[in-house]
Amino acid sequence: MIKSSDLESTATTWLHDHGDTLYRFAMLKLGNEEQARDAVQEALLGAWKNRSRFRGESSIRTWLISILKHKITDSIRKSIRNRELIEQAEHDPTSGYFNKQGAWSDSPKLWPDSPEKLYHDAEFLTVLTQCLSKLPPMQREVFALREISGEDSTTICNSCDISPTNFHVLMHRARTALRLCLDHHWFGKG
Amino acid sequence: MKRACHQISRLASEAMDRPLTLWERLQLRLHLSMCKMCRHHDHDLQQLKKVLAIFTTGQDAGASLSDKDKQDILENIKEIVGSD
Repeated sequence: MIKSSDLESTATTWLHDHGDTLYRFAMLKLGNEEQARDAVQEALLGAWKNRSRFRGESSIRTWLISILKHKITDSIRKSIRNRELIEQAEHDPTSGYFNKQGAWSDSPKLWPDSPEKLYHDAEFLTVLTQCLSKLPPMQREVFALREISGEDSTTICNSCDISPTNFHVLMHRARTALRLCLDHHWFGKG
Repeated sequence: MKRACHQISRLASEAMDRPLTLWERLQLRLHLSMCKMCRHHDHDLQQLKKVLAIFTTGQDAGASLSDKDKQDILENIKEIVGSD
């Protein structure tokens, strides 16, 4: 249960105990410091307003993260719906990755099979965040909804008002661009 | 004969989001069995997915809020709640 009395001490505690974790989560999805800070603020505000609903079924951190997730997902969906153009399908950036023989121009590196280790490597996460922020906004947002929020393709298509074809094109471009970016800036070094 | 790496890369990505038809699965498996580069690419996509999946549990890693950021957020929340 959360003591309803004091906004200042509750919010201060939440920021101290969970602020960084929330911020990192938001940074990964949004790729932008200002938006991530706003998302954390909105999540804490929402948590304060709904504090009576928290019954201690999960940890405070888990509860705050789920509020943050919803806030971010809602704002991403809104921004996707508000976009005037779906990014052009005319020019396919992925075709530039292959040579005339139809093979990869640059040989893909084989990444190690150690997701836990990478996850705990702050430098890797910095590079990953940078690679994510280089993606065109639609690709980044759809990719984030799918891989970070874990939403399924049907849900994303319906809530963002994009066709399945568009969804698959965006995911393919995002994944390929990220693989190349990480090959270049992380796995290819040394 | 032209290689199918471009089309296969698209299929490998779609395989992560929808069930493939039997024919698509055969195409993908056949090409991957013969093409090391596409095997690497597919393997790497799986690794990326695994790393990001860990984030849904909200463990610590990476960027952080400065003390000033935290103070600003606190002040903003107080102001908004105060004006409700």
